[in-house]
Amino acid sequence: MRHHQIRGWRAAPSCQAVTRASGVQGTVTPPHPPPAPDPVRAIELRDLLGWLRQRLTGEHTVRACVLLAEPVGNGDVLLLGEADHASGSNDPPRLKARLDAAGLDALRAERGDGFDPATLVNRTVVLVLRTGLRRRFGRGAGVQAKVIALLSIGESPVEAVLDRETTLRRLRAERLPFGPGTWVEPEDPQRIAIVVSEFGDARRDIEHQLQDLEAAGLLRIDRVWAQFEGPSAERSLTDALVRVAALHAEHGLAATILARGGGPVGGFAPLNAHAVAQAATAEKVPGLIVGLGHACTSRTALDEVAARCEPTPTAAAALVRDLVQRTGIRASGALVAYEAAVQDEIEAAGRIALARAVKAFDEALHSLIAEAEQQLRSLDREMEQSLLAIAACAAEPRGPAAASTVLNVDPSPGSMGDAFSAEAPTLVIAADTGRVIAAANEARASDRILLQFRDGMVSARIEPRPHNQH
Amino acid sequence: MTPLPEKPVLPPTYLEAVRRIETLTSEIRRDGLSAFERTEAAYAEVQELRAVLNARLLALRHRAG
Repeated sequence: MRHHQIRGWRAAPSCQAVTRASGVQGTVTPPHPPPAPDPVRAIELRDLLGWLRQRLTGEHTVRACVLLAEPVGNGDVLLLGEADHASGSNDPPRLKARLDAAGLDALRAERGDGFDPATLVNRTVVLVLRTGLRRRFGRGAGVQAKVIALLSIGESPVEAVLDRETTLRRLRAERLPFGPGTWVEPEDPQRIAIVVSEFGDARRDIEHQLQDLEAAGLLRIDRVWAQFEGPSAERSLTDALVRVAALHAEHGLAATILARGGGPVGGFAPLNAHAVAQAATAEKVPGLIVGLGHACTSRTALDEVAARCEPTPTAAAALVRDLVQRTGIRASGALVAYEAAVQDEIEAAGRIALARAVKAFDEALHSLIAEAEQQLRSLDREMEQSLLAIAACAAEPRGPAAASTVLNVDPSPGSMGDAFSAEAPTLVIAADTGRVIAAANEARASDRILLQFRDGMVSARIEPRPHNQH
Repeated sequence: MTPLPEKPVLPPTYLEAVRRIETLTSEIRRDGLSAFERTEAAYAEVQELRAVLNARLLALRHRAG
């Protein structure tokens, strides 16, 4: 731990001096022997905070770049970053400055009613800030800043746009594949690479989104560090992309996230460099997802080169997260579809089997009915013959006309008259078969028949007679 | 001559499993009962595919939980 010695600090009165002043000398016994003289004198924390409060309170004119403007409560919060990037630091300074409603009204009175703090994003501004020490509940002390005045607003730089267009034109001339048309959604993103600053917020945001997938073994992440700002940023980014290309050739990466947090427009200049864009084209780094800056950040050449361009590092990581989650949705859907297909086929098979069984049952039933009817008819005939035979046997020995008679059959139709009808036999039966002869055309020549009259039965034989022998 | 060591039979990957079960489903839908009979014969394979896919679902649910 480093000990800071505060210049101009006047030590608080010692415990002994306090006791003397309060008039209770001799009643207070120090719990420990007095410490040995120390060249570095320790101070109490409350005293340090008091000292910091004094030093931090004041008004300062600051040149900075507005990275973000967010409406909070009645005013806005501006996230300020460095206006220039000569330092090339991986952890550039950031400061939040509050622009309250009164300050915003003052700015609108000065610059017009249409003034919107969001128009300051990515601009270099000169501000007057009032700073101080603020105690935040549960989070200790922090520096607070309030925008007092806005002295100047820088113009939006056009160099970045020109660099971007020049790079893209060169890539097109080289016929290198790039852009959203090269995006092929990975079916199972098992392994990805991330290109981020080792100490930047982008790394934290991405890992926050993906750490549980990584911990569960659903996703493997290869981390490739790069510098995004400073004079070595272009070389660092190019090397990082070459490293990613090698990883892809070796392991087949499903996607690569290249991300950085917000910053001034000048900080994105390396992302417009031709060497960086060329190293990021689809044939070298397929499935490149970029999340550069925030929603208000100007588009860079890398945004155009990437297969997917997301507004923030968090959104880029969320895209990968969604892709992993979609594997579960697909697995679930495939299982459900399979079960449904099998179920449908089982039902179809059941329906067909049932239809076949019903048809076979109907056929068997019809066959049984036909056979039963046939047997009934046969039985009926046998019974009829038996009855007629019995009747014939019973009729033959008696009756005045028991002798056999020969009848001449006239096959021609015609009425025999009512008188004949009165004498007609009541029943004519073929003696051989027992069949009842109900009409003249049923009579066969030479058949023996039985004529059943009211008073008895006569046996007769049919002989054919020509039609013209009357 | 020493016999070659047997290669261990690895379970299918998630992607192989999901593609295979999607193929089986489309075959059942297309060919009807005959495909269903084939699928019946491949019951063990389907059980293995189901295990792989359920493992993926379980991992995702554990992570979400």
